[in-house]
Amino acid sequence: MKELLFQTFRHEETERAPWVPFAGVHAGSLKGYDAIEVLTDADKAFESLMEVNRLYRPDGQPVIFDLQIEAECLGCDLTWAKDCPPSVSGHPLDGSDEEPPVTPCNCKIPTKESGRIPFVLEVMRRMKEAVGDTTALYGLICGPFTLASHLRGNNLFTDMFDFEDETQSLFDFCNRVCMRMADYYIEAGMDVIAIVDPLISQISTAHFEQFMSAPYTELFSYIREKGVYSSFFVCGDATRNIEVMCQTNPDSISVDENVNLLAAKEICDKYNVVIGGNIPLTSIMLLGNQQDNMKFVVNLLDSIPVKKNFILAPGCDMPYEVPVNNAIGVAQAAIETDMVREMVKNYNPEEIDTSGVVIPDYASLEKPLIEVFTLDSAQCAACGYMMNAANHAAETFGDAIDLVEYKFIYKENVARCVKMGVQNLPSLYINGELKYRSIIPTRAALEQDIRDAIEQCKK
Amino acid sequence: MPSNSAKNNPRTKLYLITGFLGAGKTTFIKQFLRLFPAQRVELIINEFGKEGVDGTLLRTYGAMMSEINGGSIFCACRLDQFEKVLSESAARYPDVIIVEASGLSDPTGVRRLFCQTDRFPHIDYQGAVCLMDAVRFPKLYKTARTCTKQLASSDIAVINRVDLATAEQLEETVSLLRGQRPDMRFLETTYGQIPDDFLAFFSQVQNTSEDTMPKTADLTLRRLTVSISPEMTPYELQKFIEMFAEETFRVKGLIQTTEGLMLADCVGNVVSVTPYNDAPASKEAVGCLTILSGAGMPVYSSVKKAAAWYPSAVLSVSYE
Repeated sequence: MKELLFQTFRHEETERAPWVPFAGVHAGSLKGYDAIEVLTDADKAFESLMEVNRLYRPDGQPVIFDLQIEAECLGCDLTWAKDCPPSVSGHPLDGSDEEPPVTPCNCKIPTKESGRIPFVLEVMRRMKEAVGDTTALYGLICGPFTLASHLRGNNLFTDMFDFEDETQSLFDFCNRVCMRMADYYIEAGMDVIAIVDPLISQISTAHFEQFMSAPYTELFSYIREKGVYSSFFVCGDATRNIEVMCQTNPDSISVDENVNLLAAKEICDKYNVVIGGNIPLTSIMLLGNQQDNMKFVVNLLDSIPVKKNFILAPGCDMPYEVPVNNAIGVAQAAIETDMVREMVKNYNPEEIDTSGVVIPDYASLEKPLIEVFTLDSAQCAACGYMMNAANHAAETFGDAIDLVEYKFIYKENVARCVKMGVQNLPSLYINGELKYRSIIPTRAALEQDIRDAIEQCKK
Repeated sequence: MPSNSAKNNPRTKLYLITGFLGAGKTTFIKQFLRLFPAQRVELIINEFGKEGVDGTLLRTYGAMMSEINGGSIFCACRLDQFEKVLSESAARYPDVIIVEASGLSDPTGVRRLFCQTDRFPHIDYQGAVCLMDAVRFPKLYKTARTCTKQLASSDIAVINRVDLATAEQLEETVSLLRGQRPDMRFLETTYGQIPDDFLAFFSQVQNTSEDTMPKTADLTLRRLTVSISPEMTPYELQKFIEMFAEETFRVKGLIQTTEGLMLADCVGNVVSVTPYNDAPASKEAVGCLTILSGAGMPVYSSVKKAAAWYPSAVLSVSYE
């Protein structure tokens, strides 16, 4: 809930850590829309974000995650892709590295009518109206360093050496863009303004202090005066810069898996800055299964002894193709931690001994075998529905089929899941073949599958 | 379909090309391609807004090119996009894959990926070349941490555009390279030109990759010793070393951790912490990390800063 996140921003201890899924283009995948659609079409974006809200039950949620919005307004060329946000392919301030960068006139600062900003504002207003009472909404802005690199291109790094004053002037311009964007987004109802600056991990602490400390301090102070909370997102190995980031006084920072979160939290606690993170995007969210996600989250939450100054979130913008069940698993672990801890206590993929698992000889069965893999149908609602569907079928077909439930809370069943390659719970298999994963079948569909299997067994 | 040669010996050699934006990677690749006549070559490019590799040249050498969507070129943690393209390439069983890393992103993750031999079992990782622009490198090295990471991830350096650099610029470039990677072989060139026997550089890299710590005295080397408490977890040890790894060229030690005896080993900036099952040579050998760095690297202050993140686990830092 929104209030839980606000309590965390006020540095109060909470009963559980707030959960903020960074679902940018991934939101589109939930409704079958690609990245281009979800970053340009207000109806599709709104529909997708509402689905995130429904499925992942967030305490806070970003509205549009695209670091190229401001750059596009300022004349950068974009190259679009269907499974990730666009990238900048042309830099308007590019030129000779022997000439200093030119600071654009303030008259170029994007207005509410520039580029895709009207689209972003519309989605923000609609989300505010629909879920703003219960979910804290994040307005995301491209940070001054990354925006400057979008505008100037690769010369920015030699500029910092050769043309310190002109480069600082360009950063200051970008910071003014950030402040203006913050005005628009706060007016549209955003509760948290997040400044997302991935390239901060690419510069030294000394350069951060030289070029970025003053703009960021001013920016976070400006956001605070406007009465909303702020966040500072980085990605990559920003470990060395965590302390100087804290010194710019944001309400929170957000880091990815490259940073040791517990050690970083101690630094942040020193400055009373909330830290968010850092569920691994690829190895866990994208490529892991639901149990991996639940286990990771439970372990992360358990490693933080006092529920204070911490927000549970992915390391950065979630990959487009993150399986929906993985994110649902994260949400469940975040919200019903005790229950999920119990469910996954026996799950340790490296140590699972599958040698004792006997897989039936599916090809030689005399009658169909229905196997339902659940977390525990007594505890997990979706598992209960799946098991009910199977039980109804058992009543219909009686002795003509065999039915068994494997609850994941038992060690031997965990081993069976690993050996069978069960990726999601609940799943329903008929004669060793995966038929339904997470989606509960209709009675008619399941009965038809069983009739087909009976015929198959006769052959 | 794989070619006949691929069917008989389905192994693909992979070369990684790194270097900051504008260092001359594309020009280099054009030269590099010539070293693989009559072989099936695939090129994976991860950069936008630059001059592309000439299509005619690719056709001449029978090379195929794939591009990686760049929306997350900043993100070291989004290797999945790279892996996806690499898997598609590898599935065609070419003789050679050349990967051009994005000039702005940290190549450590890509380098680390090839240390996991089970991920792409039929790929033989040959090593990484780092392109350096002799004119711009001294400045970039001071402002872009990526340059340090690129050198740390590489095995061979090619200092490009030496004809355009002043004597001071070239000298400083070489001195920075020598400071960070005294172990690294390098050559100076113009227009990315390389000798015909350039591939031999890689076989030398492979032969030396298993070397132990250098024992000979070298006045340009700095050797630090860090004493570690058994209270440290393997994960903390890994993250501790990662904080300064890019400024070293070798880190090694047998460390007693909360999860038993571990061998910490780092060449360039690829850190590995793995269980050690043999008996240690002596008790004194356990609990100390030895860190080697070249002259001019701020490794002592970096290690001290990293130690501040783990105050109860890092007991002391000292020069030998």
